[in-house]
Amino acid sequence: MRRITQKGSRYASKEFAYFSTISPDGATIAYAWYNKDGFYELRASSSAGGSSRVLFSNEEAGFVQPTAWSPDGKQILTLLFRKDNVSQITVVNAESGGIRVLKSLNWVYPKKMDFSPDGRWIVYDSFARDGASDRDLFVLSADSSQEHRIVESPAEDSFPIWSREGSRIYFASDRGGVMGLWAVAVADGRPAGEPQLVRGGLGRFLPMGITAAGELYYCLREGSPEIRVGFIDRDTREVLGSGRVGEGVGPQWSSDGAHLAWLTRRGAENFGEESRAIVVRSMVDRSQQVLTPKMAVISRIRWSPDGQWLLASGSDDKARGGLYRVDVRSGRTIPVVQDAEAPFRGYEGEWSDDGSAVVYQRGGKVYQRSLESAEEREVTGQVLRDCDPDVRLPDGAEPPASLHRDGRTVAFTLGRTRPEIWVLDLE
Amino acid sequence: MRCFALLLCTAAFADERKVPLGLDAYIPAPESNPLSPEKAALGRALFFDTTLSRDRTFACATCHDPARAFTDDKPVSKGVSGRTGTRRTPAILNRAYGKSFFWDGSATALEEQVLKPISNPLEMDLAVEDALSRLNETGRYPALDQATLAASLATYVRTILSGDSPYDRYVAGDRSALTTEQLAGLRLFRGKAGCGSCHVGPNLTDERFHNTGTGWRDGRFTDQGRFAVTGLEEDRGAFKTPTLRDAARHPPYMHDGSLATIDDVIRHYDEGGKPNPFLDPEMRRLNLTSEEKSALVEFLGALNGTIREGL
Repeated sequence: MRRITQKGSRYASKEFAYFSTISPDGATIAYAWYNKDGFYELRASSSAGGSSRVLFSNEEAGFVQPTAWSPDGKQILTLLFRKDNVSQITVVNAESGGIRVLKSLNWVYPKKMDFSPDGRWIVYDSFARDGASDRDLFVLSADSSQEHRIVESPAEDSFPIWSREGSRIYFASDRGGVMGLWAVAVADGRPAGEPQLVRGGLGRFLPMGITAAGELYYCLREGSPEIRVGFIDRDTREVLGSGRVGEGVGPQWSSDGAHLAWLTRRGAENFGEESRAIVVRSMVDRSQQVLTPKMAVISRIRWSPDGQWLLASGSDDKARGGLYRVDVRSGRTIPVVQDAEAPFRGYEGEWSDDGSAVVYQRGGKVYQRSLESAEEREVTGQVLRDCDPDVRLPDGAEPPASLHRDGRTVAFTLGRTRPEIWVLDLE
Repeated sequence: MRCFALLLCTAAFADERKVPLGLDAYIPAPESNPLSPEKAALGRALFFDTTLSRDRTFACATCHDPARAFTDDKPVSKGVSGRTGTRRTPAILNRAYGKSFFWDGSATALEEQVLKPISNPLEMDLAVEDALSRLNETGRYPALDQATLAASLATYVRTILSGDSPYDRYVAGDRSALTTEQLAGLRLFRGKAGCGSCHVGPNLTDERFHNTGTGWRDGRFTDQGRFAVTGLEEDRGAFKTPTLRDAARHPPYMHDGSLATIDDVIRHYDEGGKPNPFLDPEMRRLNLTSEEKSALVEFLGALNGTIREGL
């Protein structure tokens, strides 16, 4: 094993490498690089290490994901995600970096794309149709002259990988009720039979590729985070006992302590925040309801002071990030802050003490927005103290979004490389 | 030898099919009607042929005028004998990438769409069978049947492409392609003004249907729009999002041509559209300043590109 990139700690530089794919001859690695300007570019390095070169860099296509090399090693199949929430299937010339956009999709980008061994075809997964929530498999000719739907069913079919000899496409599917590995025979870019189960009951697995020996390798996500309610000794901080109430992440108490809400997975989706729903549990009668707001991504929730709403950070069904209000009874979703520049995970936000406004951070500043008038003002405050950059949270734990709230003030963590805790006076 | 010649022809065709910057290289076409230069050429000839109208005065190109970005300058379409239609002639740019056709999406394929204006009494007013008889009598075409007529016209329409605008060059990485004011307009387009919620993607349309209130007058809809196709209440007064490519070049605007200028359109959206029981939930007051409106107008001008047709 050897290290290809070396840019120091995350405190020394916010740059990092992301998705990567190795050329057919094993000599070159193409990868996404989050650069100092705050967007991803496509780079290539020798697999022996050493310097890298930028193949493609365009802030408008701010996210790139190289997924496969053409068999002749001349092109890199790359997914772009543009600032206008359009994803694009492209091929990038491995020498010149010249790019050719084959097909544009909406913000729901393919989970995986792969070249056929003869280089003539590209397989990808995408939503079956406009407004659908299940994926089918499609094959697009590399010369962009034709496209065929290769697998069509109400099931979730995704993560396609072409077999080494080219006669089959393997994919993950929940047809039959559980996630399994399936294969469909293909000939000349078209299906040549019905999909066949290769192995069922694989759980939450993510097919990654096929080795030269013909073995499929995949990532398997085991176990699920549990929501537990327990009692803690105030003095010793020792957990005195706890009980499981559900499966999910990010539990939040309502202000009266009568309800607990958390994020959970929904549907057959294996990975990603797109699959999240909100569970609201009464701690009084133990009744539970699942809210499925019209949101593509939910990263955090916060109870309103009156317990009627949840403030959800994330993106709506058009991938517009921001903050949304979710009615606790109906799941009705109303945008509070919506911004084309907002990240998928939305903004960090908190309710004002009386619930009439939300306070959130954007671009290193903190704003307060009225729910009624939508008027917004910047909130100024003072730095309470610097965080210790060496502080590490336990594995799996997420940093707290809001550290403190006492009625008139709200506390935020600002900054990634050198986090600061801000306490802001809302008056 | 014949096989070799065919291969050469195919390769040359693939090269010729280069699309303008900003559009997908893959041009969707049904398997039953793949693109071919021959069909595109035949379709082009038919597109400009007035034989297709009852009084031989109207061709497709009469309303879809290439000199006017393949639309015209009239609020609503004009047909034979001075007849007046009810909707504006849509600009048929980049329709190869479309998912449905006509303002209400009543046609699901171009092969279906291209025949309807021929028989529409308010447009060309000629039964398709009669049109075929006439065309076959001219001797200018190979023997035509309805399927060939539809396939040829649809193929030609698929070749009408607009791209390579300053906006496309900017998105492709040319940071100098937009002026400062156009850049400000782009930020508004994607942000505060919310235009990009519906005018999205390479063709600047979500291909969906929205009620912005333009068809609402005196407490009723003058045109039911998408509702006539789906029967769904929520579709009353909803019309398909048009592309904004070359929009600045071809006023007037909206499905009924009721807004004369781009300034009028921006004012309409700034006011949150026209309130009605089925107004799209995306519509809201924007509170744009005059400078912001001006920047949006400038940006829309940056969507004027190069229009090419044929293969």
